Amino acid sequence: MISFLIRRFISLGFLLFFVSILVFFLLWLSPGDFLAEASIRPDIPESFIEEMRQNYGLDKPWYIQYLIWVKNAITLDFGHSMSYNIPVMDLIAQRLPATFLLSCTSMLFVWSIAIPLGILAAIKQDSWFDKTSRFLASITMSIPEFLLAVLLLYLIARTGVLPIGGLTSVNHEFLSPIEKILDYLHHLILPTLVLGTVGISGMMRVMRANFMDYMREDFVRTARAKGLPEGTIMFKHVLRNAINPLITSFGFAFSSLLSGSLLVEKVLNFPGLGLLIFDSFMKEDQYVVMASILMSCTMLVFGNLLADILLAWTDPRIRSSAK
Amino acid sequence: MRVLRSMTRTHLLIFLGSFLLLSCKRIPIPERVHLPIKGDMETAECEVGKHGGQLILIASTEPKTFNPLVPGDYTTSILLGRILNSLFTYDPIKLKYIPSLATSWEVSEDKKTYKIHLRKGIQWSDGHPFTAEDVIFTFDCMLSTVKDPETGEIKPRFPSRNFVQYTIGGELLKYKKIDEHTVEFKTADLYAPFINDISYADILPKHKLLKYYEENSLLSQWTSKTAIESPEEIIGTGPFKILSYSPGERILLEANPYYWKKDKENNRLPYIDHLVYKFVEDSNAQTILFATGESDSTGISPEDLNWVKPMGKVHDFSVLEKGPDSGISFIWFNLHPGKNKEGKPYVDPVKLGWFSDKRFRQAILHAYNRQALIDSVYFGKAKVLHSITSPANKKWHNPDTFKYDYNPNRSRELFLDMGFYYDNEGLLFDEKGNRVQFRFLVPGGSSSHEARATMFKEFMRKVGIDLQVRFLDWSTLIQKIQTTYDYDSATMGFSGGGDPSGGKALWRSDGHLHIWHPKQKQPHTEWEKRVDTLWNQQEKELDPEKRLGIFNTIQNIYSEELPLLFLVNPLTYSGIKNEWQNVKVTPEASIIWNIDELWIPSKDKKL
Repeated sequence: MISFLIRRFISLGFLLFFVSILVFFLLWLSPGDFLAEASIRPDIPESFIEEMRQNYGLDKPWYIQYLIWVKNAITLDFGHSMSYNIPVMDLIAQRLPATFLLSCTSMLFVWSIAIPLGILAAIKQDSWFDKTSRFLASITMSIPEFLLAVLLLYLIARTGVLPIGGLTSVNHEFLSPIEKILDYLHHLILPTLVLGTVGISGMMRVMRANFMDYMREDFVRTARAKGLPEGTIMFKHVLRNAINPLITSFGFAFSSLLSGSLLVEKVLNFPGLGLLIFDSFMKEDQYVVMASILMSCTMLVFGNLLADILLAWTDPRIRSSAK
Repeated sequence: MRVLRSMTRTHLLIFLGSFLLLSCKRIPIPERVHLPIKGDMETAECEVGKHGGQLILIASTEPKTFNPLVPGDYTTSILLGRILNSLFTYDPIKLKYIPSLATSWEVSEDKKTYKIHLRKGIQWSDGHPFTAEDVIFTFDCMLSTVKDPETGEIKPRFPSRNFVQYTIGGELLKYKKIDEHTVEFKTADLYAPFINDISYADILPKHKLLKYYEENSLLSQWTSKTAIESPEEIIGTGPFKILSYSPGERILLEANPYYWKKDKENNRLPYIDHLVYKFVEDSNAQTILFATGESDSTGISPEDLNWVKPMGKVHDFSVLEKGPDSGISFIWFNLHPGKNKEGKPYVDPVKLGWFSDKRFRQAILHAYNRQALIDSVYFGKAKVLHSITSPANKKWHNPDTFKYDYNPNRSRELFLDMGFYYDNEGLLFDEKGNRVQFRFLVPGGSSSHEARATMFKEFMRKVGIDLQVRFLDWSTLIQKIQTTYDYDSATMGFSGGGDPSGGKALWRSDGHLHIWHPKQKQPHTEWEKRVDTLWNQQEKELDPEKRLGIFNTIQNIYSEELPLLFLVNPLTYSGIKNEWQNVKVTPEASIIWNIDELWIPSKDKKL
C-alpha cells in the first residue's frame, strides 16, 4: 500500500512538471500577452506598457520565465495575478469555497437520487416506473445544459420563488448564522438543479444497466437457492458489485470539485472559479492559468487515488490481487 | 443519579437554548451617522431630497484593484470615482470643470503657474483633516523618481501612466505647497488642457499611505484583498466608502459621513445610505435582473428595447434615450510604408498604392450604405458618424465636417478617376490590371461585428471589389495592428468623451494609436504634418473659443483625408426605476452620474 502511494506521488510530480512546461509553452505561443489589451487604450502611454512588461518579466524568453516560475513555485509562491495585483493563491482562495460548496451539493444531489432510482428501475424492470424514468432520462440527457439553465432561469423569473443567481442575498452579512445557512441553501437550489439534472440521468442509466447485469449472474441464483432473503441478495451482493464503475467515475467527479462550471457561473451568475479561470485564459494572466491547471491536475490524480482506495475497500478481489 | 440526569438535561436545554438564541441574532446594520455640517462645503444646486434608501447597480466585471496608481478596468475606475475625488470634476451638463477638492484656481501672468485653492475644513472618511499635504503627497506618488543603480537611468519611483501624462513641454510638472490650503503647479510650457489633465489624479490620503510610500510597497496596497479583509483601510473623500466586498458577488458601499457636499437646506449628501454593485458578467443576465426589478438601473442595448420596455409597467421603471454613444467605430487601411526585419514590406506595394490614395478611401466610404447597416443591425437606433469625435461629445464635436453619403456611382467615378477600370462582368481592376481585392480583419465573437463584416463584403461586391473577411481573436488582431503590421484593413472602435487632449496617441502622427501608420518619426504626409502643427498650437492656445476652432479644423482634415472610415454611432438607452428623484440624463455620462443627489421618497427600500 505504502509503495503504491509513493509511486503515485512520484508520477504526480512528473505529471505536474510536464503539464506546467507544456502550458507555459502554449501560452507563450498564443499571440499577444497580458498587456495587449492595455496597449490599445489611448490613455495608457506606451512607455508605461514597456515598463510593466519588464516588471512582469514578459520581455524575457519563455524558458527563462518558466524557470523563474518553477523556482518560486517550489517554495509555494505561485506568482501574482497581473490583473488583480495580488498573489494567485489569494485570488483562488477567494473563489474556492463557493465552487467547492456547489460541487458538493450537486454531487450529493446526483448520487443520492441517481443510485436509488437506478436500482429501483433495475429491480422493477419494464414496469411503468422503469419506462417513465428511462423516457425522462433520455429527454434530460439530450437537453444541453445551457438550455436547461436558461429555461429554469425563465421559469424562476416568472414565478419569483428562487433568487436569480448569486450565492447570497444583498443583506447576507447582517443575517444571523441560521439565516445565513438558509440563505446559502436558497441560492444553491437553482445551480444544483442545473448542474445535477443531466448528471442524474446518465448515472441512473449506468446504475440500472450494471445492476441488471449482476442480477443475472450465477451467484444471485445460488444465493436465491440457498434461501437468502431477496433484500440481502440485492443490497449486499448485487449492489456491491454493480457500484464499482460508479466509484471509478467518482474519481473523475472529484477532480472537477474545484474546477468550477463556466456555464452555470456565467448564466446564473455564481461566484465560482470557472469564470475567473476563463477570464485569465482570455487575458493571458499566465500565473493564474498555471495555478488553476496544476490544481485541477492534482485533483485528478488525487481523485483517481481515492477511487482506487475505495474500490479496494468495496471489492475484496482487488485487495487480494494487489497483494 | 436522577438529580444528576435532570441537572444535565436542564443544562443541556439552557445550553441549546442560548445557542439557538445566539445563532438567531442578527448583526445590526451600522446606523448612518449624521455629523454636523462644518467647513467649506459645496452646496449642490439640486432639489432638496431625503436621506435613506439603497441603490442597486450592476457591474459587468470585478474591480481589479482599489489603488488608482495601478491600471484597472472600467469597473475599477467607476468604483474609485465613488470613493476618491480629484481637484476638479467635469460637469456633463454644464460641459465645464467645476470645483471638487479644490475650489478655484488662479493663473499667473505668463500662464504657466497655477495657484490652486483647496477646500478648507473638510475631512477624509476616517475623520482625518484634508490638507495641501495630501495633494503634494499624491503628486509625489506619481512623479517622484529614483535612479536605477545599474544603468543610472532616472525612473519613476512608482511607475504609473500619470508619469507621461504630467510630462508637459518635455519636463515633469513642478508642484509645491504654499500653505495648508493652497498648492502651486508650474508647467514648463504653455499648456491649455492643464485643468483637464490635473483632474485625472485622484487625491490620496497621506496619513494612511505614507508608510507604504516609504517602504516602496505603495503599488501593492489597496488591492481587492484589502477590500475583502479590511475595507476600513481604504479611505477617501468621495460620497461613499466600502462597507464590504464579496468577490464574485457584490460590493456594498455606505455613505461617507464626512462627504463635502450639502444641499440647500444643509443636509449632507449623498442622500442614499447604501450603494450596491452586483457583479454580473453576462449582458443578458444583466438585462433580466433589471427587467425583473432586481436592480435599480442599467444600460440597455437597442435590440433589448422591445421586450424590456413593457416590463416597466410591472416593475415601475422607465427606459430613457441617452443619445449617441460617446465612442467611435471605424474601418481603416494599413498605410504603413515600412518593411519588416526580413526586408519584406508590411503591405503589398500595389495595395499600399491604392490605400494611400485619398480618392480610394473616399470611394470605399461612398460605397458603404451606412443607413442600411443602421436599419438592419441597429433596428434604426443609430446615426451615421461623420467625425473622429462622437456627437455625444457636444462641446468638441464638429457637425460640419466633410460628409460622404451612400453613392455607388460617385464611388465608381472616383475609381475611374484613379485610372482603375471595370471588365464586362463589373469587376474592378487597377491601371496595371491587378484585380482590386483586399483582406479585412474583424474581431470575432461579436455578432454585430459579424453582421457588419457581411454587409461590408456585399457593398464592396457591388462596386466590383473582392473583400476577404477574416475573423480573428482579439489579441491576435491587436498583435497584427500594433506589432507585426501584416494586414490590409481592419475594424475597431475607440471609447471617447471629454477634452480631446487625452487622444494624443491617436491624433498625432507620432502616437502609438495612430493605427493606420503609428509612431512616425516625421509626419509621413502633408496633412499629418498639418494636424501635428495644429495640435501643438491648440496645446498652447489659452482662448477656449480659438482652441475649439483648431479642433474643428483638425476634425475636418480627418474627415476629408479619411485615414479612418467612420461607420455609425449607436444610440444608447438606460433604464431606471421611476421612484428615483433628481435623475438628469446626458449623453456624456452615465444616467446616475450625479449619484450623490439621487434620492428616493419611500422608506421601505433598505438593506
